[in-house]
Amino acid sequence: MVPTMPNENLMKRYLLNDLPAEERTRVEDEYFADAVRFEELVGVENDLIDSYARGTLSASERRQFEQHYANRPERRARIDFAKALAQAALQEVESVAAHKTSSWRSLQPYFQASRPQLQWALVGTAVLLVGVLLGMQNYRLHRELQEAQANASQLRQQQDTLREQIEELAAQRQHAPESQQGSQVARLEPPADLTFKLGSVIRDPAGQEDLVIPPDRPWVKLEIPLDRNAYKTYEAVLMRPEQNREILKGQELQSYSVGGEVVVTWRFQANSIQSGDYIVHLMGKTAAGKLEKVKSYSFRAVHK
Amino acid sequence: MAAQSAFGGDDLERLLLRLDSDRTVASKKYEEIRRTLIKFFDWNGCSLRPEELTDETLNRLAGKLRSEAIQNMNAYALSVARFVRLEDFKRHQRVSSIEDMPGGIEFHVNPGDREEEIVESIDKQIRQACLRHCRTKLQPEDSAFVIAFYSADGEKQKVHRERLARTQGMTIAALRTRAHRLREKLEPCVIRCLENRRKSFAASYSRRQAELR
Repeated sequence: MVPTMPNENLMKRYLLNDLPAEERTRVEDEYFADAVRFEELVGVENDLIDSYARGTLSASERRQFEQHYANRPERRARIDFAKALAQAALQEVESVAAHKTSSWRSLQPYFQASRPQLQWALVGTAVLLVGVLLGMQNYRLHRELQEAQANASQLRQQQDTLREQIEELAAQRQHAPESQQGSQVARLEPPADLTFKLGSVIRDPAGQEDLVIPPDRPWVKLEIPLDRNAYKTYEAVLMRPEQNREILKGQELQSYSVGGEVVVTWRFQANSIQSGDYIVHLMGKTAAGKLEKVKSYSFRAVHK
Repeated sequence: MAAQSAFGGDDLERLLLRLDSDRTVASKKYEEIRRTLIKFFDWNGCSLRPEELTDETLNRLAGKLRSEAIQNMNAYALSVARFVRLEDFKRHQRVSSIEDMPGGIEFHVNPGDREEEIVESIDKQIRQACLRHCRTKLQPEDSAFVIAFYSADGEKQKVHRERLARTQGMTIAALRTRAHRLREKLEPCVIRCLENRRKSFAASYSRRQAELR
């Protein structure tokens, strides 16, 4: 996540319902009195929703966002909109990048020559060149159109296949016990996290546990057990045993009670780690902001 | 722009006159206060719709003008809004249920992953189709601008928006306001479109299921 200005952090905390009453009142006084401040707050809200939709919030921000912001249907609809916007923006960025490779810019200096005869000659050449380029462009566009039509037809086929697969799944579900039946299809929700609970402290290689990641699980949620919940927040660092560098870091992690046991949860994207052995170092953050080592764990990740 | 109001003509006239003697300026100020109030109730997680609570607040504010001379309209609107918020909290002590959680109940169960992947793929296509449809309702330059404004994320965002402001010859604040106004036009259109298309997809799916049985 990008380092933010203190003011922006304050606004985020206001939106995530994380400010004491006194500070909330102050923020409200400010944005009612100052239209610029109000627009800043609207901007922070939009950017927060966009970051959530693009999966770029930190684990703690994401959790707070889900608990305090995305808990209403109208806000979930706004997240849907942000997802559509993110997809369109990504396509735009890709298209601009492709356009930049165009050779048009390289012709520019020749038109800045000073002598009139030379300028006319250059203009003539340029017109000829433009004609040739337009012809080539036309030919290329024609080919692209044909390809696009072929792709569209392929997409239509894929869509039909997907529909058939949904129908097959639904038919299979009809034969399954009633308790396993649901109504997912019309709801269109994202896949659930892959939860993995770490074992005890570093073990010998034979005792390592495997985190098996299927290709269709984009998010992993690690549950790190605690003997004693002595800190308000925690920080976790993921490392490869053979390399002395951080692969991934989770900050401001919180502890929860799960089935009578206290665990720290850490959520990250499954594709941020590769198959192999990993060590997780867990640290607790003191009231003074100092990090103290709590425990280390090992596991093996296996992408299926 | 004509001010939209949920209360009587005299009260509205009095309120507009208090905001500005020029009718156009007064309407603009009225819409600004209304927009701020809607966001205030939304950000405070009130149980009734923010628009309803906003109308209630403006109604009370206009009523006060019959008997009181209000110096600072924005500050007064905020103090009335806080009362309205308090009443809403007392009236509707929210009971948190799993359906209120992000993604509703489906977010917390472990459904068939393959099915979800298919559903997400279809949903992505629906989202794109809706955004394309709604962008056609904007002016072409506005449509391009809104995508350009939101096309950078993370560390690149600040630099990108500063560059965009320079090329558009605008201040960052003006650029942001323009983007927000366009987003506020585009967003409800996409949300309505998504709702309609999902309903239609679910209906066609149910029909196919019935035919299969």
